[in-house]
Amino acid sequence: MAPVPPAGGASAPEKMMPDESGSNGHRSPDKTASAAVNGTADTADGHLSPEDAEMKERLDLLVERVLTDGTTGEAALQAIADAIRSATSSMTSVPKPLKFLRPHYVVLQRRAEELGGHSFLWDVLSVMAMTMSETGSLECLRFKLRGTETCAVSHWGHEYVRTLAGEIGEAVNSGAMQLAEVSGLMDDILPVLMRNNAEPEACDLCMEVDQLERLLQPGLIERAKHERVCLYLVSCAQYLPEPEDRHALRVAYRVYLRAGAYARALRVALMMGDAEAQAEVMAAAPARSAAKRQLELMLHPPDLSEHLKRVARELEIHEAKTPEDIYKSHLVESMRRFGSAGGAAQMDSARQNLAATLVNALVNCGFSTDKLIVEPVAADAPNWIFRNKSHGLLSATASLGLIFLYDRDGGVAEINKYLDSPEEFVRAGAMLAIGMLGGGRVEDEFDTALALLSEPAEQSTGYTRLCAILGLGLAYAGTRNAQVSETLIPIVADAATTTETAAVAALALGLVFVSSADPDLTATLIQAMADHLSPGEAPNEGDAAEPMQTVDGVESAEAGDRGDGDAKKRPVEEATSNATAAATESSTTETAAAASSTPRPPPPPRPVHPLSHLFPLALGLLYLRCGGASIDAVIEAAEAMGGGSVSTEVLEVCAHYGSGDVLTVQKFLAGGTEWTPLAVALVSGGEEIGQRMALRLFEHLQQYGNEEQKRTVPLALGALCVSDPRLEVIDALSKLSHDHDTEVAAAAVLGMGLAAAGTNNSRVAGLLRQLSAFYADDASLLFMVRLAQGLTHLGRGLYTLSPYYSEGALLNPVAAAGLLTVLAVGVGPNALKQTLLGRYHYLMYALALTVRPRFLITLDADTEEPVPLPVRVGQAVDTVGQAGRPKTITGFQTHTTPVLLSAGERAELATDDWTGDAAVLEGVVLVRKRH
Amino acid sequence: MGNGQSLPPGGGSFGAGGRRGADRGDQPKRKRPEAPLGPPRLGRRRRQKGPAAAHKLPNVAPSVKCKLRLLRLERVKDYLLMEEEYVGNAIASIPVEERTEEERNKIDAIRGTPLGVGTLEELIDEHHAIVSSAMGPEYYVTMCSFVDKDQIEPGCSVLLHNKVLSVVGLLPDDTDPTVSVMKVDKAPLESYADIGGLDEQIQEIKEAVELPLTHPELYEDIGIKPPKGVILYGEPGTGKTLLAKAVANSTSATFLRLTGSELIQKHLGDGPKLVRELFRIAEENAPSIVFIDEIDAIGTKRYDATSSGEREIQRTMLELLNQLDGFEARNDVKVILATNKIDLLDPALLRPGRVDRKIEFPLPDEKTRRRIFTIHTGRMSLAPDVNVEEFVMSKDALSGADIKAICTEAGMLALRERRMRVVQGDFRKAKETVLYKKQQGVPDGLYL
Repeated sequence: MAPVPPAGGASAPEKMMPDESGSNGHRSPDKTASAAVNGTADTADGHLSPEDAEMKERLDLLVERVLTDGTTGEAALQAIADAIRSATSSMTSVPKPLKFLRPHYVVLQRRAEELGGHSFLWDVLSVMAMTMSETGSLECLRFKLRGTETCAVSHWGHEYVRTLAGEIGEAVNSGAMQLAEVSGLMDDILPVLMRNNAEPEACDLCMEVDQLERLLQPGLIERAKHERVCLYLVSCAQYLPEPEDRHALRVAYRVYLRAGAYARALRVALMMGDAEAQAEVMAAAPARSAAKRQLELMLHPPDLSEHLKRVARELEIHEAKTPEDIYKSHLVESMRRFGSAGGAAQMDSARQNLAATLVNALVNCGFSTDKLIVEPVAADAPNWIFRNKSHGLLSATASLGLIFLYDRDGGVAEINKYLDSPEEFVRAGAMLAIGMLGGGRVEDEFDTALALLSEPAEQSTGYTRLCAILGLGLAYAGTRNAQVSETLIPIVADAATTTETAAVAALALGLVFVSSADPDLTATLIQAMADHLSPGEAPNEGDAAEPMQTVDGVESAEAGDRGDGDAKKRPVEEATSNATAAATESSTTETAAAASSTPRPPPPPRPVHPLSHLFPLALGLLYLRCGGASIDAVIEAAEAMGGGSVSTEVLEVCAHYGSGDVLTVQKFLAGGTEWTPLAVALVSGGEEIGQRMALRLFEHLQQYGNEEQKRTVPLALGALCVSDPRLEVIDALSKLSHDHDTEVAAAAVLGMGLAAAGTNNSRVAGLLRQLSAFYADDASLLFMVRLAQGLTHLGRGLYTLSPYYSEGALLNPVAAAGLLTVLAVGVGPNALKQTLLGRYHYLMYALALTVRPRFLITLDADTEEPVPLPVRVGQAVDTVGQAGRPKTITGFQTHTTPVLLSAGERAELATDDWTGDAAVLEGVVLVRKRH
Repeated sequence: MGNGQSLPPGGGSFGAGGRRGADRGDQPKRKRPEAPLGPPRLGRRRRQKGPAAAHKLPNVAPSVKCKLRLLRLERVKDYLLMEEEYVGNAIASIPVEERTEEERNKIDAIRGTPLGVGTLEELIDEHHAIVSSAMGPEYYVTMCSFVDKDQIEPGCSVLLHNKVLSVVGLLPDDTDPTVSVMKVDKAPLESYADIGGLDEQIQEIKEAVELPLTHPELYEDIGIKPPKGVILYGEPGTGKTLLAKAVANSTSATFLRLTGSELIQKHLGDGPKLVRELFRIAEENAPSIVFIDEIDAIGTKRYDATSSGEREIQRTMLELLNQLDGFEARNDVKVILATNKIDLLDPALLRPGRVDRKIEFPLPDEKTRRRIFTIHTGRMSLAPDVNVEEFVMSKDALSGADIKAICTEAGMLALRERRMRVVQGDFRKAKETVLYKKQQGVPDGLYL
């Protein structure tokens, strides 16, 4: 083993690295190390081996000489210094010369005082102080500052530099020294640390004294090193408290920018959410270069539809699938045995059709074709859409939006057929479909959505209006389009609007102005909340029985014309359906309609509208990920206006979405409402440690939580691991999906769908098939199972629902908003029954915003034509702070692009002939040939 | 208890309660199909890799000491504190005593008395198992829901109800007794201070065995994988076992020791099994150090063995090879092997990656001999005329053990003459005896 630099004392390992106050990963105590010192150097009873004794004598003599004046003294001092420098020892024990010099420490100190001024003796003393001074006395640093200027810090080895660095941090933080005093020394230390592969320590030192800008000194960070430094800073930023994290990110951004790593700089700028920085990167990148084009691709995705279809062809999944291909009921045995026994027990056909519609839309999402609606298998079959009734019609038409996701031209052409349909539900669905086409990613160049939807949003009534509003929200999500707000604000502000319409309009505004923190809009929304949520009545106190009746009514209303079994029921249903439709059209509130259609002797207190969640949610979306400070005033205002605890909670969740803020999590745990699990999932889901710890928390919530919390836990599990079907999560959800409490079971099934969304995970698919047999006679749960099956096979495995991208470092606010919408309507007593299982299943289409292709395509930088390149795809490894050039992925397989990346996977080019500018190999990446 | 929940027949329905009731009226025979349960995840595998993995704390990534590590550890700590607070509050809010008391009584009532003791042979599913009792026959019985399924595994002792023989509890599992005897509970008295010389060897063994366990970050800093094991070799009596004892004395890691011959078992397959068990125990008690003395008992070169006994020994060695550097990485288990016939060992055993460091123990040189003499005579009552220099400087090849023997022998001689002090003469005589005995049997000059 190579000689080790003079190592520090084993007796004071904590002192050597003061920046590490938490006890570290070693499990054996330092007993070994101290025994080592006793063992090798001198025996327990103080006997010295002859060489040691000789060395001791020599050192004693040298010290004597140092104490005398004249040149001999200097020579002797030099000799001592050499002895210290040349000493090697086992890594953790004190070098022998230092040990023998110990008795002279005080004497030499006195001598140095006598000499006065800066002398080399102080330098030597400083080295000695490394092992001999009291903890906290900072003598090492103090003596060094009195030493000669010529003596470089690196002279004494790495351990000494680390000690100094540690003491500087300690001194400045405790106020023992001013920054100016140590400033010069820091300038000496930083280059040494940088040169010696100790970038983390250099960053730590700067961070300790709050001087991260020092890292930007010219020449400090070599070109080859900037990546390591930035990676460390960015990783730290995740865990630093609020002002410091931005500071670290800003420095990393500067370093990247200076190193010419524009794509990475842009990534950091996006992390900061700093528009100016983004503009700066764009300006800095050389015009018309591949790097610049890559940046543009990062901000504005290219022709997604085209790429998607090509990838599908390459992966041979372009063939459209029918819902039956997904259900695979031939594999479900018990279905045959029990299911066919009685047709009435089967899912009623309207439900079945609705489920098929949704599954069909999800599975063929973005492929512009399917086998039910666009290109029916049997050409003469009646149009699938018109085999549905009422709300089913709406959803069926709207499903075109998902099928034509990202394909605006094709979509508008197809949907146009239905825009002028005499059937109101079809018109409404078409409006919604128009809104979904962009999916929050593809820009609407000609403002088709605004042209088609703004007028019905303002003027028409009932469902057409509702869907036009929602469509506008989806189409312009995240754009902060002023025209949209002009259209929507009057609707929200008008107190005469029905709660339903106002809620959807508020949601649409929230989507369009997501994380904008717009104060005017905030006021409007708070006012609307006050108008529509009667004060003094907390939303979770709603009468559970009342809405259930509504659901029943709706359910029967949806019974379609397909099944033979329920033909005899039809007249009754038609009547109810008409009644419901009429009730809605006449602008009475939903609940009033329900109350009128159900004769119940005692008129219950006005129940809460199932969509009332959407007001606080819209408010929260405005402040999505804006941090805690910004929302305090809003929370107060919302509470004063009767928003109740729900509004506070939703706002908190939104503001801290993915921030990993521990205090928020603590607040929710102490609060103990049904939002707690979801809050834990969403707040801490942003990074690995938070995720793992959240899983532990869920375990406790399930054991000790109250009934409402237990009902939200499965949903939260799904939200925590969206599109990441980890074994332990799926196991837990699978267990919950058989719970006695049907609400828990329904949420667990949905959670399973979310966790496996877009993965084609065969384990989940198998579990869901089993569940479809198990719940064959429970219409609601079977519907959920179908939905989960559709999610699992979302886009035949081409998509992910995770709002995090760029290796989980960035959050797409629009995608998060879409996910939040679906999650939020599932929280609360009976929430799922009233919304997704009731008549608001079309809110599921908010997921169109969340869907993101998970492919990696390589394009030639010049021609922008796809180039098939070999890439290694494997599990990502956290390589921050590791020595050398560690592997960034493990367990990889080599594929040829295009490839699909699952959660937690990372790709790297497996060829040296091509190179790219992208920060992360994800999505569309430009590559150019190396010359 | 949450594990054993089963669904009640026809559990609650969702949404359409009324209608379902009507259906049931029509077809009273219809039953919900049996709950499809995931694959039974029971037994040992579950304990190690099942959902329990979810409860484990996350690994904190850079093992280098740096602020990032501190921040991450602090984050974990914050969450743990929250958990503590939450669980504490939750438990405090439940009236504990009455409930547990009540539950206990109930469970005791179900258990009945006396309880039979049996062995669990096989797990069928979450609720059924095959057990055998000392009487002989095996029974297919039910397991009560309050039995902790996470802890149960085939082969463990269970409590059985005295009449229906259902599993009503389990007895704490004890580890394989053959392995547990290997554990060194009482640290040996020999410490590093009792070793004369061998400074280099001590440093090497420390770098290879102790420091990776105590300071793993040093290795990570420089970017190397710490050595997995060392082999100590050299003439008999040069202190190999002594050094291993000193390591055991100074470390707080689990120290497992055995000799090579212990791994040779009567029945086929027992030897390899013991090796596996040994490393499993080592892993469970990690960080740990495994010391195998006289490894040449099983580690000799492979050749065409004719007897099945030979082959069995070779298979034991193959298992050892696999455990040393097999498919599964064992980072916290270090291995020390000792032998005095390194040239007989199988090359596969010695290749880097299995045994990274070969530490030679030479015969002591003058300096070392002096130290060894000092150590051994340090506790003897010597006459003033004793001068060990004479023996230190002698040209005879003396090992550490020889020197110890000389000292002991000298003491015996003094005792024989009823002196309370050992004189120089005793030492001289002792040396002669020891050297004579040592050379006995080797005919002088035969090969000259």
